[in-house]
Amino acid sequence: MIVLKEIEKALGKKIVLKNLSFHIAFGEKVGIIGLNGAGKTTLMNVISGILKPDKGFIRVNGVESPMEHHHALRNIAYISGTRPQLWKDLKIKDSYEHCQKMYQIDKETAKCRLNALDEIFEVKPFLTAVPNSLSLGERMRCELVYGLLAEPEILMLDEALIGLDVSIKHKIMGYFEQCRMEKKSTMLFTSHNLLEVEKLCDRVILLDKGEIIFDGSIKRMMKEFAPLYRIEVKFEGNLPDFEDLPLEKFYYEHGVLEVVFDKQKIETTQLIKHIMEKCTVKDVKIKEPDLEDTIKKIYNGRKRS
Amino acid sequence: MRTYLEFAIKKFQNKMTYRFDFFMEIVNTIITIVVYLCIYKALYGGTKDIDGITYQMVATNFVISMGLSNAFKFNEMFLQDKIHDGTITNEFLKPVNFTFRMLWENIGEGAFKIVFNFIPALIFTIFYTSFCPPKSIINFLVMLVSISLGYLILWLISFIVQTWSFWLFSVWGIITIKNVFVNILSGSLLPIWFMPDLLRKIISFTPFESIYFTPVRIYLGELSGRDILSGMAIQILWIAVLAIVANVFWKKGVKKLVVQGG
Repeated sequence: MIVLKEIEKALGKKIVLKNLSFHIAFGEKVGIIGLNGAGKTTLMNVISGILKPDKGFIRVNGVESPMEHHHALRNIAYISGTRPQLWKDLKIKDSYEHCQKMYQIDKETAKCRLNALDEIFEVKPFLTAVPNSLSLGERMRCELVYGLLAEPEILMLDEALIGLDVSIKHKIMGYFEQCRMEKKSTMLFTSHNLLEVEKLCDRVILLDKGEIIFDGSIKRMMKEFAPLYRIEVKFEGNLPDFEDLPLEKFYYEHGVLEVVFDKQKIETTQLIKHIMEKCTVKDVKIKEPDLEDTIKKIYNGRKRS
Repeated sequence: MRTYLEFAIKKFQNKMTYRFDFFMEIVNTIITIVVYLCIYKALYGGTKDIDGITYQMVATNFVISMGLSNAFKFNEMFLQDKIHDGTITNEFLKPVNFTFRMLWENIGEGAFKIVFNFIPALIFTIFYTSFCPPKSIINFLVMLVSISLGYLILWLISFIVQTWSFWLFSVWGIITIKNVFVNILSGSLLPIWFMPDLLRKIISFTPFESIYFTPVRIYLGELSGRDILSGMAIQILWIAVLAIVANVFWKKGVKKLVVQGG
């Protein structure tokens, strides 16, 4: 359970977070997205307690600053792609052993968890290596296992999936999706890869210059802000007449008709039916707007206003 | 407590994997001790004692204080590195006290170096020259306690200087100067017996005397009975004072980090 109320934070003279308020319930998976410098990492730092807000009210699992309470820290893992937690001069397995001691996990449980995590992250070959001898992706996998060993209630991932291979990333995403289904832990996730966010999170908080500009489910965001849909139709015969259908635009080039429309005004099926009635269609391609397009639109909208 | 002890043990084991490192350090310790012993042998030139201080006593002082000062070396840029690469904040999010973890890891390293650096060097120098035996078994055991207290003083002084890296870009220069002060004023380069009276008086008001010189004097029997107790009381007093100072700097530094974001 995370509660933020009217949080403000300035670093130097720059105000990084402005008047942020939101709740995150237990088990929610929240993606924090925004452009560079939007305040994502600062927000994560404030929640973890590494940074103290200048103003406002914050509680994480009922504690104001987890940093000062070891029992609270045992339930939080903050995995960052830019700040390694593994000690440079320790072998990975020694770091894991420290983790087991610090989080007071008994030896057998830790072993079981490590075996289970190894199936996904494949870290066993690196156990006797030191972090610096590993590649970025390999190290990141070790970092993730380190954070997950303690099975924290609150899992914070700040750009934690960088440098991973496609195949292993797929497995890891699968693992997190499974976590999402099980609702065992609260997850906060920042990433530049919106595909990841879309897959892993129920809810997104969109930040722009330290302010929340959207907070809600991805579905709602798409419905409210999704830009226009496009259909590409290859057909034979004459250009169909659209009569009074509420389309935005259409282009015709090299035998391909491209129709741009707003889904709130006309359904896709209705439109296709109309075209099929008028001419022989050879091929149809529907382009749905994705999260990226939607977010782009939201930002552009803000810039204009 | 168990957890922190584990850190020390892990560090000890970890050091074992870098054997070549410690082999070179033994050579280093032996050479420095032998060079200094040669100089003092020449200075004594056959005289039995100077102001009641015999060559054997000086040799004993050197082996203990210089040998230990080599064994008690640890990475003093540790905190600065952690602050510079930002990983210090991760340490705050671990459910252990970071300062204690640092201390215990350094203790583990010190223990390793005593076993694999100090003791081999000691055995070598025993063949090279003669020392004073400890006054009694009890004196020897009390000295061991006193050395541990001396280590804490040494560590706290280093830690205080390390915490300045919250404000300064580099504390390397300050650490170097600090080490010169520690080496000279603790008597590991020039025995405190031979220092001018005024300087000796001044040193007696600093924590430096308590680092190696108090244990050495307990070992030799220069301090006995009540003096041993008062000597160790002064050590404990310095630990308390330095711990308070260290805590103030540490708290201020952490606060700066938490408010300004490093």
